Amino acid sequence: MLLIASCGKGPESAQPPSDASSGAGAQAPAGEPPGGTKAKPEPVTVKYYVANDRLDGLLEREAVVEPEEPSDTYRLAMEALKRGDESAGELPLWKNAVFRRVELAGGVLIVDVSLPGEARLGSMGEALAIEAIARTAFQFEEVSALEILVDGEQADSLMGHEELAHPIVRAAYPDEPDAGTAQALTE
Amino acid sequence: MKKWFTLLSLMFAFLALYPSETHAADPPSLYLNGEPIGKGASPRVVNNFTMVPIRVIAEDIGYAVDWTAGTDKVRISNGGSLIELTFNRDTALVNGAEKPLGAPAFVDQGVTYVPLRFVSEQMGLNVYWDKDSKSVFLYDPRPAAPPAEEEEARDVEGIGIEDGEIIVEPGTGLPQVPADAQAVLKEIRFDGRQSVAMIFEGGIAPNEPFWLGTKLVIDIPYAALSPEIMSELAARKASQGELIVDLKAFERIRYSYFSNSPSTVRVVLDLKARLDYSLTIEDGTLYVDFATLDPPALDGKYIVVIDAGHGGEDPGAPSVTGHWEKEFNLAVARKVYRLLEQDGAIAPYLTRSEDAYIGLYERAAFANDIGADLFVSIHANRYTTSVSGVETYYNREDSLKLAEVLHKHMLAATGLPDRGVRKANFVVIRETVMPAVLLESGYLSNQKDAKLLFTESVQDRIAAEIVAGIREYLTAYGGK
Repeated sequence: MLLIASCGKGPESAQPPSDASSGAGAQAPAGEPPGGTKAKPEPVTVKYYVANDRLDGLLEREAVVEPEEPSDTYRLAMEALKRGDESAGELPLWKNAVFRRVELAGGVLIVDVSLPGEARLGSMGEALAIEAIARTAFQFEEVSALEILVDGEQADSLMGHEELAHPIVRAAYPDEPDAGTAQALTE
Repeated sequence: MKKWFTLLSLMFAFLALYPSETHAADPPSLYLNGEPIGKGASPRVVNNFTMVPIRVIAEDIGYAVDWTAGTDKVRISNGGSLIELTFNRDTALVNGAEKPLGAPAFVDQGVTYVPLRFVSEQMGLNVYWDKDSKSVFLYDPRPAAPPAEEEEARDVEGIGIEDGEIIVEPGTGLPQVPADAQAVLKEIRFDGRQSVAMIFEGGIAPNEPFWLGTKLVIDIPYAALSPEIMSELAARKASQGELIVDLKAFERIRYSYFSNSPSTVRVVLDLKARLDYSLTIEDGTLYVDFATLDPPALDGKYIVVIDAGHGGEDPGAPSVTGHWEKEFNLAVARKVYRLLEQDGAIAPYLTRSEDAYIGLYERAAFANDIGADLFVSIHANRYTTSVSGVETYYNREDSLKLAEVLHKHMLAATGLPDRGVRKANFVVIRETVMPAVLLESGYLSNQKDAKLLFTESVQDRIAAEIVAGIREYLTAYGGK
């Protein structure tokens, strides 16, 4: 269940990094800006997702980030998952996680995380955390799959309730947001 | 084997995503022993080397493939040789020795490509390239192995190989016994009545056996399989050996070289129930004796599986009181178990009775295998400090009634806010085939909830209410 709540400002959607997709094939994201050094960072608007305060659905939010180089956009989008204004009922699902490595390789976004104790959530928190990171990853058209590693390993489960697919494919998160992750019974 | 299937499903997923992938205008045709292989696989030619999706290696040629995304490495093994390829690196490791590659392995759009000639030749196949027809012909010079389909199917629920690869050095005769092994397994026998003998050469000190569902697992560290057994397994491209027993509740015995750090032999006794056994060692032979192989009579009792969430390396959520969720789950599960034991109409089972890691699918399979009537998974929640209350989760419609009944009792036991009966897709409540629920007993991130859940008298009350709920449900709706 995904509740779209616009937060006003900003361009229509995320700018995909300019070195995106195909052609280059196997190589990890190209990286070096032409001329070797320090083009001024272009601000990019990325989407990220937080849980609502009932903990039964996601809210979409936007953040403006300044990647040092285009491939850095993915990492910054992941880091944005730590944001959220709890007093406004926006609860971050990845606040205490550590993103060790975020890298696009051949259409697969590899996100290697560490989960210290305080990053571990209950069952529905885990389900929403996975949906939030997947939707954040799939806002980039060139990302066809998301491979989440825990401390460099392919874990069976992130937090011990849901299975963790290796990788999570885009098709698992259709744009139609009612994928049925979390359905509270109407009371 | 699990990774294997993960990998295959990955490849299929990408085939589905890119149905019209047509990078190579004219991909070469592939043949193994004269039969066409690699249908729809779209091989690529890079620097005059034919690169194939690794699916072809795994499915059509039948080598074991292990993809570790974190390290950008692919390991390919035929039970004899082990090839390790690193994406975009122009050398490969073959049985630990570095060899140059004409073209490195790479990933494109989620599909991993590996050099066909290199892999095939290192595995002992002959490779011919026919320029005119643009075809690659692979021939296996060895006689065809007997069909091992049943073997393969069984491997799905394999006993697992952690890192105990059997490596046969090319050009040598029998495989080497690892240096750290102080004993080798020569033979396993079943006496036809109720005793298993594992005959070792050298001294052994087995670990305490443990149950995975109704499988009894015995690990023997600093031990290896005999060179004869290793080479026999390698010849069959099998990672484990087995001995079919098929007597009463005893199905079979399986054994493997489970780990190489330290060298460990794992023996698994597949049973249909947790039977009483005794373990003795005599002259290097390890005996497992069962008092009886008759499955315990249940006399029409309801089978109830209590699942303490998390455990072992998966601690679950931390509590603001300094405890871990897994401790709460196990404490309450044990209390429920002891209460249910006193009920003549119910046969209770625990998925774990100690602080051990058990996979989510294993938990569900355990309940399915013993034909459970009900499945109750005990958890505690975590979110922000302000959230408090009880949630009860179900997945299938046949579980809704159980969820409603137990939710009511959980509210009575804890006195915490009612956060509702909810539907979700968690593995243990989805993969089980009987009414199954997951109880989120309260929030360990909340001071009040956490203090309550780690109070012994409250745990007793929760256990008593869960038992009352189970009885109420069985009285009203019966077993499955």
